[in-house]
Amino acid sequence: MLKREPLDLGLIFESLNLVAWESDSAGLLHLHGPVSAPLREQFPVLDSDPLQLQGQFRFLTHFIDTANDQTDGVWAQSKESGISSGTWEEDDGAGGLAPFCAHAFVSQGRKFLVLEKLGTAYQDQKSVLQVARVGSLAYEELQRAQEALQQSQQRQESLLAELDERVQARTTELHQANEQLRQEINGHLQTQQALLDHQEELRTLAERLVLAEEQERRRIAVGLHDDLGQALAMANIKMGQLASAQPELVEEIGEVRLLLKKAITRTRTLTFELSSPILHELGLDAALENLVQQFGARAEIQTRYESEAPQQVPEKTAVLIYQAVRELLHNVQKHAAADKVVVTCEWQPQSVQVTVADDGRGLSTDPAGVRDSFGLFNVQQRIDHLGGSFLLQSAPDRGTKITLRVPFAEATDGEGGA
Amino acid sequence: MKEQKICMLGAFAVGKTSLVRRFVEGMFSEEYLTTIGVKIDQKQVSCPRGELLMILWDVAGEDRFHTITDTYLRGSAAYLLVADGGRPQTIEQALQIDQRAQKLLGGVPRLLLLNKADLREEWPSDDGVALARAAELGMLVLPSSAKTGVGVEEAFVQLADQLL
Repeated sequence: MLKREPLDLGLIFESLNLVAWESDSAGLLHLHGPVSAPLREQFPVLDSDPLQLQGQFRFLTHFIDTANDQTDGVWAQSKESGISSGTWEEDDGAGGLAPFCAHAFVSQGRKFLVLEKLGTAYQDQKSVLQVARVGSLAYEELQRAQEALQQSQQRQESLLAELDERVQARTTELHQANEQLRQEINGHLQTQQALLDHQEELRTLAERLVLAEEQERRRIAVGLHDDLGQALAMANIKMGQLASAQPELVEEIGEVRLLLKKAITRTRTLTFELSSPILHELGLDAALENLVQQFGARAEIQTRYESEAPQQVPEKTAVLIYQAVRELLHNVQKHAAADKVVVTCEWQPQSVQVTVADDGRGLSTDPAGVRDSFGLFNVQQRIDHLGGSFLLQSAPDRGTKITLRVPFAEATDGEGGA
Repeated sequence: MKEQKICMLGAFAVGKTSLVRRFVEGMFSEEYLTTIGVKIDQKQVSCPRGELLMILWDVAGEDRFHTITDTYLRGSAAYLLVADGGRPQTIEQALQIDQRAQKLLGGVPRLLLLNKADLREEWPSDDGVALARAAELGMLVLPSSAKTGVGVEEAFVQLADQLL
């Protein structure tokens, strides 16, 4: 059963850390009940009666002045109402802060002031506000970072756009330069092609010239052999018959026949030198062998010809190889001062490799040196035209070795044979 | 000795409490502790025109949920507006508080401090409009740093001198 006895406000105020004063007619504030022991120890000035704040609790002083304000102060108007001060903090004398709140009100015509030392609820409120404001600061910082990031991205986009423009402009310039270069290259290619065509034409003309020369040489050689040689032989026979019929003229006829024999021999030599009949009748291998033998006898140089299993060679190729070897042997005789020459033919199904090696004084292997020697240059050009290769190996006083490799496939006229 | 009430006003976390602590105690702490309500300190200053006991009301900063109570401002002889130079919106907030304070208190002396000047290299450059408005209002704007102490003493003494 609840006992309905009068409340001891003093005990309630003490337990709630409240201090109450009542303002008298002179405006002095008198304590209404006890001040709690902890509050009194911490702030002794609150225990004064009448209240004498003595420069302390300036906020409370300001609040009391506000309540007494003649214009709108709650006490000055003596209306049944009240005001609150809001929170403030006082130094607690121990390095901390004590939060307070004050209330001024009029009740039954009496003016009261209540001071409240705030406790746990205030600390909770402060903690929440602290967290909220720290969070708000972090949010602001995040917003600034986002703005900075956006600005950075905008700058980046702007730079990228500028870069893109510059790349496009540069690309256009490059395309234009490239087009110009392409046109120049096309011009050069056309010029080069015209040059190659011209060279090819020259080579073809040179080849035809060689073949024409060879044909003419052969025609003359045949003429010498068939006409002049036959006539001289017939004249020699007739002179023999004349010597039998006219014994007194034997000595003179003998002299004429000697001259005729020399003419016949010279005619045969010329026939061979103009165009080897062996080349056209027996083929390249026999012609080269004969050429080497004739060269050795004429130049008084030891010679050897080596060849195994000769192949059929197109006439054009055979003529060119024969002329090339003859030119090389001519060079040996003229420049090499050699004691020995070896000509070797290595036959393959589709090509032949001919080597002319001497033990002479040697010559320069510089390509320019080859070009300087018109004979060698001429041989190289001819071999190149046939799609072959020309290799010069030489050293001072260590002889010269020239290797010609000629394919058969390039030849178009398949007449003749090895 | 003459004593005068001076309020520290501005947005939250701009350094009002730190400026008072630097000025009164010569100390500074990096730790941010929000102020609720009011904290009152005092300091005697010597000015060219004499001495003054400054009663410094460190009023809790404003945010979207809490505005400064007018009763706190009553009786102020001057006030120091404080903004964080690194947060341009706090300059705008200081100017809004200034409008209310001028309306309530009349043309009392005031200064605008751009605090945290030790971080000046990180300040954004978009505070020009607000500062131009402060200049139009006849407000003196000074940089300060509660951390280093730069501009703190000068600001309080300059304000105090105007009250003598």
